[in-house]
Amino acid sequence: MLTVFYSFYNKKLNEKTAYISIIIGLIGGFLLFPAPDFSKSLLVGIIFPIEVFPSFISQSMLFLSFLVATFAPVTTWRLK
Amino acid sequence: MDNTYFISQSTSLILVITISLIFTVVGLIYSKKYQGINNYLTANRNIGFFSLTTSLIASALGAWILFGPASAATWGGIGAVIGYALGTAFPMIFLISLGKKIRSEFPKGSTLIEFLRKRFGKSLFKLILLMTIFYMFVFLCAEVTAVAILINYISGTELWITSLIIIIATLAYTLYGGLRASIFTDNIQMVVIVALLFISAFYLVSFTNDQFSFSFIKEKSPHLLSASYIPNYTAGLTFFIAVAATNLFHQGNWQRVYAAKNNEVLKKSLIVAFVIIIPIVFFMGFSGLVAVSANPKVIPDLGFFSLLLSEQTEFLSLIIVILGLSLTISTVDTLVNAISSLIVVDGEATLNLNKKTNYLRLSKYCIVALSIIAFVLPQKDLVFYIYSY
Repeated sequence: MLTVFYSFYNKKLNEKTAYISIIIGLIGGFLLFPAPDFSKSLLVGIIFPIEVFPSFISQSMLFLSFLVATFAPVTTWRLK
Repeated sequence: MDNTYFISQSTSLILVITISLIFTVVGLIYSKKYQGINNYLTANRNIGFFSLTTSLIASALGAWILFGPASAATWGGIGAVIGYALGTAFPMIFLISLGKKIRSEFPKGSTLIEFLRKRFGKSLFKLILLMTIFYMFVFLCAEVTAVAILINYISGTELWITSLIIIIATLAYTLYGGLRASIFTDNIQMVVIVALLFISAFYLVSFTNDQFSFSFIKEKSPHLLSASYIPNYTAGLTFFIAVAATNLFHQGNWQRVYAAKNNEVLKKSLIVAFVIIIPIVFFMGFSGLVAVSANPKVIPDLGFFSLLLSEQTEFLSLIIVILGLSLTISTVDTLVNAISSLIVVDGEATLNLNKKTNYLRLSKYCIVALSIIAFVLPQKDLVFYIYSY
């Protein structure tokens, strides 16, 4: 979301950077998005065992999912 | 079996058919004199203050407000309630500056995606288009499912019956009258919604024996109001981001930005919509805080209903059915027209079909196909039931 609306005000943001940043946000958010019972996500509990992560992460997956999906794209603009 | 429900199936069915039919007939008759692609997509860019305001509010508030905020409040506390309320209303403030900017830079536009197509190349445009349609389709399914479950809870009516009636009625007038029909019916729906919410609020405040207050929540579930309860922050931020972000990509909002008569009308409508949306969503979320404080074992999704229907009043059941139908139909017609407009405007750039292709007709076929899926999805439990036996 931030990428699209930021691009309205920053003409320097090109299509490739915008595309990559959106994909990174989508993947990051998807990896942390919890199952309906909030017990696990693709990253926490399936790819890696849940014990590997601090309890804050395993208990706040929905929050972190949205946080990553929203703000991970910003780091991509910075890196570029 | 009927006596375990609040009203009989026949009563609920008569209500669902009558309300749906009224909106269909009104939408069809009104839009008869406003035909053409400009009316279908942007209501000829001629919508005044009252219509635009009520339409923005009615489109933003769906049947989800009866379940979502109250449910989130039971575990996310006051933070979730504030996050939901601000998240729903925030896009209105954001659209004041962005809407004005896009209207001046792209005065003949009618979608956000169209603007992105000019700004970027086709790859990004296709990705955003796909995500926007996917989001609005999920929203459509959720709305139809929510109202079907609501009426099933109140009267035991099977999910498919409610879904079918609502989808057919909404498609009938929206595919014929486009944005004009959607905005005009939104005006009526908004008046109905506000009136019924006032009645609900009056009953809740008058008949819950002082339970509907911060002091009651503080006494029974102090953590839900506590500054040291972390979910108040995480849930608040989560719902704010989730609701605000999705609403900013809602093509229904962008159509209304383009449909405003001028920038002044747009600005006033967005400010008033912002001011009205916040207390409505906050009130619904607050009912969840009260419900879980009164009964810690309450089913989160049913928090609002557990308070309002605690005395099993038939009158209040009827109010809830009409409220749920008005909320759903206003949102579904917005979504149907929004998806259709994206296919009409952006379909040509994406699909590269034969030059003679009528994209308006194509969009209507696509919408009918998506509606069939939205109709089938709420029956999932029934499908599982049939497979099990």
